[in-house]
Amino acid sequence: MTTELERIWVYLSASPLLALTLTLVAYQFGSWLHLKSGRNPLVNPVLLAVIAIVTLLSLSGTSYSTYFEGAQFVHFLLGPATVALAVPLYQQLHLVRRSAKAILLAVLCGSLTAGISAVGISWALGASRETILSLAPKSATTPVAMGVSEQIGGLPSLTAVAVILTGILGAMAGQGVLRLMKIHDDRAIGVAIGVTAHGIGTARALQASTVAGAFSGLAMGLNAIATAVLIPAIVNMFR
Amino acid sequence: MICHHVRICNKGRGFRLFAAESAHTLEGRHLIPFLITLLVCQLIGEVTVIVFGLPLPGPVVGMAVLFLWLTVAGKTTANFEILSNQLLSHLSLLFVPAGVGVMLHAELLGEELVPIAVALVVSTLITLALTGWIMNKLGTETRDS
Repeated sequence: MTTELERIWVYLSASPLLALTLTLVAYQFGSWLHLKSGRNPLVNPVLLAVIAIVTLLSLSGTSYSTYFEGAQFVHFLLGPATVALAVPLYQQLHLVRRSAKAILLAVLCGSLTAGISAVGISWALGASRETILSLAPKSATTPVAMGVSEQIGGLPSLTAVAVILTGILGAMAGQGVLRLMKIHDDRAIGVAIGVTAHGIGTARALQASTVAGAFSGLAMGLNAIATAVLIPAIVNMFR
Repeated sequence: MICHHVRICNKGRGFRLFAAESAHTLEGRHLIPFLITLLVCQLIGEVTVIVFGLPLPGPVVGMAVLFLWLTVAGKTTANFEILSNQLLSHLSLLFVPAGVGVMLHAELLGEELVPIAVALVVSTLITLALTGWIMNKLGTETRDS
């Protein structure tokens, strides 16, 4: 019996089917808890799914590369889905046009704030130079942040960790922080979440409203440009 | 400007009627053209990034390409909007594999866990608050009724 189970496990762990199924089931589980909590942003489906999967992988001794053979099919869709963010943006074109200047200024300030505050706080708490530089681009979308990190002398893999954690934090805290500040304008909510928490935040903003989602997607794109240009330039000034 | 707005509102109403009546049959037929559009835009984005050496991800440039395409065309179809809404409503799911990879690398945080955690939490809160405040402040000048 044990050998039979082992045989099935060996077969399944070599095929991408199990990892793909696990990813969808874990996400569905996270979404279910999210719904049960009355759509509480603190009960974040991504975080719950990630914790569930990491636990199972650790318990079964499965490597990330084995898991990713199945999960890559989900991961691949990030590209086309990012392209699709143009659709809500186009649907809100009239609103975007009207507040174009405000968006540009807010993204510029937000991008600088994200970088400078991360650098300042980690420096004040005695982090190493490499760590400080790794945190600087953490509000940009992962590929941009990792590229910038490498360019300025950070550790790209540490940056990737910081980016994902920032995304989840921003998605969880975004609406709460803005509500506390009595900001109820979906445009402001979208831009703030998009600048701070890139795609993970944008996914959350889309659930709040199409307007918030559209502005968040735009802010994410603009922040990618701002981070890629500004962070290396600022770091160079201090060299 | 007013004309434009009205057109979008009309389109919005048409879209809802249309969707309620025949969304089911339309979606199947329009799925492949929808996927082709996204993939072609992403391809153009990726190639543009390589050719011009842009420090941006291909999909973000692809988003700009699709946006320009829609702006030039002056409209989207109901199917295109339904399909992209459905895809985007599951955007969170697509971050799960990357999230898992990152958590397995959490030991990178190592001895500097506390400064990193504090920096990420406080920086995230400050950025959210400041950006939201600026956008809200400037947005009120241009706010419609």
